[in-house]
Amino acid sequence: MTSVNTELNKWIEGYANPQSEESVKTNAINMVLLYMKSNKIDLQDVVEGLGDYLKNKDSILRARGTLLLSEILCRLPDLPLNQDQVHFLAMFYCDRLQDFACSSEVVKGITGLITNHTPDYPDNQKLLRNIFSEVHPTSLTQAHRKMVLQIIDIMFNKCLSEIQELKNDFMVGYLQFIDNEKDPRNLIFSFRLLPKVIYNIPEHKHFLESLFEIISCYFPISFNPKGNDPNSITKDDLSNALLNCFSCTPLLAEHSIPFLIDKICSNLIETKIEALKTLVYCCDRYGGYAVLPFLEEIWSTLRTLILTHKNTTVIEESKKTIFYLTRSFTKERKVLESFLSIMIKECLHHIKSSQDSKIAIYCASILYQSVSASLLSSKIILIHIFPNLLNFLSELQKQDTVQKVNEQNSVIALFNDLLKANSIAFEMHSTIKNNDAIDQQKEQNPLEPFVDQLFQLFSDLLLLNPSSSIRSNSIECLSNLYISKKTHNNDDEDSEHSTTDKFLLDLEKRQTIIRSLVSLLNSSDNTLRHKSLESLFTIASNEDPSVLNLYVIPTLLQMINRSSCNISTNSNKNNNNNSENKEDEKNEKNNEDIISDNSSGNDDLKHYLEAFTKLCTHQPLLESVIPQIQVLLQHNIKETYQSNHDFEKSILILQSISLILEKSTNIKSMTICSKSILFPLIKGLYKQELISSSDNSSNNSSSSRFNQILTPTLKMIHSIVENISIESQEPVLEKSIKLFLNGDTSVIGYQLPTDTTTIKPFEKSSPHKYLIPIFTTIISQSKLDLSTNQELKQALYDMSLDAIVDDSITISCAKAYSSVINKQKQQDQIDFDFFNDNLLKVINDTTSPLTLKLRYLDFFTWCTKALLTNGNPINIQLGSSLAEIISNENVELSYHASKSFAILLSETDVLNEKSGSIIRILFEQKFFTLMFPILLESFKSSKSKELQTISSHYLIAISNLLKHVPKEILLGELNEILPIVMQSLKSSDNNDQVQLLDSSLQTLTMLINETPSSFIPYLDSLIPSLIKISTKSSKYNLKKSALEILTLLSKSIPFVNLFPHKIQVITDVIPCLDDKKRIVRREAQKCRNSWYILQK
Amino acid sequence: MSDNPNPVIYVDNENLNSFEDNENPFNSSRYSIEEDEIDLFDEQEIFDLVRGITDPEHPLTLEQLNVVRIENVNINLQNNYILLYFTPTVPHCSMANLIGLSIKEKLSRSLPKRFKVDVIVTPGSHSSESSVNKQLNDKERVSAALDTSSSILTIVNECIKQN
Repeated sequence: MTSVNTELNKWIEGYANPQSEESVKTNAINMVLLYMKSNKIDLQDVVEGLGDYLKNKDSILRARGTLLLSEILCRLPDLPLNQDQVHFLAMFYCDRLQDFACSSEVVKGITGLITNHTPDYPDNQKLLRNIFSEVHPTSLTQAHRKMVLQIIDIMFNKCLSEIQELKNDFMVGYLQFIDNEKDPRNLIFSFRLLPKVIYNIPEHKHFLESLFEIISCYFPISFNPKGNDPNSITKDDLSNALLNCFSCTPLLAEHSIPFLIDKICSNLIETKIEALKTLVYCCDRYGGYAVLPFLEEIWSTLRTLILTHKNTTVIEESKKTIFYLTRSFTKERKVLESFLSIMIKECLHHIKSSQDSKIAIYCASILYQSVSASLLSSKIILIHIFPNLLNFLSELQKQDTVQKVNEQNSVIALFNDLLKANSIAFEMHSTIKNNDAIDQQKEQNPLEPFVDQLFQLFSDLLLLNPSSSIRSNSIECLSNLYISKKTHNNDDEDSEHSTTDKFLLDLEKRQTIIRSLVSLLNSSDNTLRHKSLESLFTIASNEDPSVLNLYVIPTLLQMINRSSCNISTNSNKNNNNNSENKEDEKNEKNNEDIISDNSSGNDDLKHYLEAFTKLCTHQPLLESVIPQIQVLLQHNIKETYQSNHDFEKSILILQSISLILEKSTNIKSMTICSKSILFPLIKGLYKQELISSSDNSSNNSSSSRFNQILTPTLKMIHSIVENISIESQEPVLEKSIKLFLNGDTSVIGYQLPTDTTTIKPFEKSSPHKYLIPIFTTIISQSKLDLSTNQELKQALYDMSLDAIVDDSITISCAKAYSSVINKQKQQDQIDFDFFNDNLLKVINDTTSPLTLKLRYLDFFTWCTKALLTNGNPINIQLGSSLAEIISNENVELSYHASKSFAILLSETDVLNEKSGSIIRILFEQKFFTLMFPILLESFKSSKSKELQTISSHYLIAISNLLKHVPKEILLGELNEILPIVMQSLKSSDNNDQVQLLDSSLQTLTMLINETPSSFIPYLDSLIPSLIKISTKSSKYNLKKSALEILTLLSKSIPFVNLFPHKIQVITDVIPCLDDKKRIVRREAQKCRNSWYILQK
Repeated sequence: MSDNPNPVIYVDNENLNSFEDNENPFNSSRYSIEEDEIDLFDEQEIFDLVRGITDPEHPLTLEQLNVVRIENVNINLQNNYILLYFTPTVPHCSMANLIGLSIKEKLSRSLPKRFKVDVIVTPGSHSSESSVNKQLNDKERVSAALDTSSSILTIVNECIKQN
């Protein structure tokens, strides 16, 4: 026992003695704690051992003694203490708070005591009261000030009622503690504590002003945390915490709103925006009634900002503020009404008195914001505004002068805005309702009372008004009116029911709108035509397809057929009408009206086709018109065309259909297409080909016709095959292979003419080779592995390398072949020797003719692409072989090889995700990192050997590669790339270097676009080189590119870096202003003007 | 408050865009392709320089407001002389000076120094025509107005800046 006590005394001595080593102190306290933990000594022993120190006259020793006790309380949470001991300690600390010298130690002790133990009533009160009265916050360090806040927080949790008894005293002490705090660690705690205080201590009411004064001085938070801050407090944390303080009680509104308004008027844009956001949040938390007295002030501040401020972000933010405020006031109808009434009055005034100026436009946008905020606000505003606007408009219509047209127009534009805003509010309301799962109260659309009046107004304007801009605005209004819903659409249930009466307008009126829009589709006025098409599309995307099939689609199709055949005989016309079996008589009459004033010509057809194409991008509609598309195809791929004109029209129609199919990625509709359209289409093409190949002897026109038909139809086939599932592809592929390889024309139900035996396009002497691209298009998009079909592979291989056949055919075969080997399951069966023996030998053989070499090179390139896309390990071998070809002495071959690097990484219509290819993740990066050093090395060595042409080809290859590499990789290699590019810029533009210079400039443009900031260190040499090229070069193309790059620099590099070069550029490009080429002058003036107005 | 809050707009955006398309290099006959061919300065080129300047009061271009028109651009290649008339939207337009200044400055930045450029109010279109003309063609006053410290320069730059 005694030995323990002696040791204890030794440790106490060691710990308390200020002269002890740090390690001795640490060891001493740890030993004490360990002994206490293992119950060898208890608190009483320690207190007795400390005895002398606690009362020592030397303040340092006294503090050390107290600290030991406090450490024990803090670090031993499970210390067994009875309530008497707790009381004793509490009283001890209460007493000790008066001892100025050890106040921090005492605070620490109290923290430990109340964290781990619970003193009885009224000890907590006493402790807190004493802390407030005896401890001065400024005498404590940051950590200890924070402890006081923690004590308050813990007491709130443990003995709230006891603290509440302190009432005003608590508030006074607390305010004194949080005042003047500067440390972010404490501030964030203090901000988080404040709402608790307000919530728990009702007496805060008497101190609101000083409370607000204390917290408001922190607004707006400006805080830049250091990167290595262990507390990782961010500006946002502080701002959010402060925001919570501002908004914690509605009573603060009285102080905070004027304060925030004052901040909104600040000169600093950041402060303005922060204050606006805070205002929105606070107003929402305070609730409408607290804000009521300030409505007028808030409104006038926001209005002034929107109407007069120059910065667009501020204007946008103010508009948003109006939106959110309106939405938040919706909870209190009275508040909302008074807010809106001020707004409506003023906006109406501005709109009526200052038409067309910025102010009216801004007022319109304010109204737009507040209408779209909520259904209620929309209701209130529309009821006030619409009658007013309608009257105003009719007044304007009476006094019809040129000026008034503009005014009318802006009123109509305002109508349009309000219609749109109302739709937003209405939609939003329904989603909120749905989310809350409250049973749907059928809320009326605020537009309902006005709908007929508006419909009448816009229809009249559209029909009668002479001004084209008013008419075009009316079109938009009508379409917005059209899509305004009557009830909220609940998609799941009664969807059939909702289609019939989900719109505000009844079917008849809707059809009227559609009719007038369709009639405008061939208007000679571009604006009107575009507007009506856009509006029809908006309608189509909202309307049920069946309604559109009533009128729009039949009419369009009829117009298309009509204009495509209007030079042909009447019998044809009847034929067309038969296809439109859907249309009823009423429509027929209408059509006649339109047709009668319809002048023939390709323009009309183009317009109708444009409309048809655009509408068909809406998937549900497309699905329903596939049969009609099939008919169109049949009619337009025909055996004889009456004239070139007739043919051109058919081509236009085919192009539009291919556009429609290209835009559609929907599996369902494409599967229907693959069943109903695909093979009839191929059959049509077969017939065409047969005609053209038999006709070949007399003239070339029919074969060029076939080619023209082929281009759009290939696109159609591509989109169909690409988008269907693997199961639907299987029969298609099977049939195609039969048809093209075996010549089995029965699969497309095609009866060969008597004079032809079979059609096998892949046969060496076949005259039908132009059919091959159809086949290759299908094969390239196959999601199946076709590599086991040796016959197919061989056919493609042979055709790709045939030097007599057209490029388009060989390339398409190469693509198909590459796509097949890309998807081959046994990748290890593909080996480099195959390519080396068969292809590279021919390419490198000096005796073989150039055309053949180029065929082989193309084929080789596509195979390389296929294997690098799927990550086959031999890809880099193939790549380096391709790079080697660049050093070939044949210039053309070398150039061709350098160009082919563009194919390797670029996106193409084959070997992409959609065509079911195997794509290795990050294959571009992998290939680039391996390939780049090879190319770079070859570039350097050929440059050192003075082989200008070849080195420029290597640079072309490098820049072609760079174009398709992700930015991150590019940045990594920039140190290597930039010096080369910069050096090449300095080369003169002798004939053999033009290409090098040109490709360097292109590479440069691309690099600056990607990473402008990496050029900052090079500006000193870059700018003079560019100026030199732009003034001295003999090629205007180079001058132009150099000037373009200078302009690009002025727009993409920070002002500070550009400024030193400003004068130089402005003066030195002057000669270009007088260049003999207009294009150079144009770029020069753009460049000079841009450098004049550098943005800070 | 602006002098003319309701200017009539003459050219709509759509037509303007289609014009821009025609400017597309190599697509248009205005840009010769052969290295030796020479494109001479013409009215259209001068007009292209000023059409896009915006009005200080409205977000509209001078072309849209009919302030500048291609008919009012005269160029004499022998004497290196360009004369451009501009028409303020209303006769009492207080912005006439500023518009004129913007046109003049844009041209001086964009044309070679051999040209002498005069920018003049279309006769009869402004109430204080002579004083505006005098101001615009007084070298010292122009250079004083466009001093780097001047706030007018900021406005002029804003007008010249094209989107």
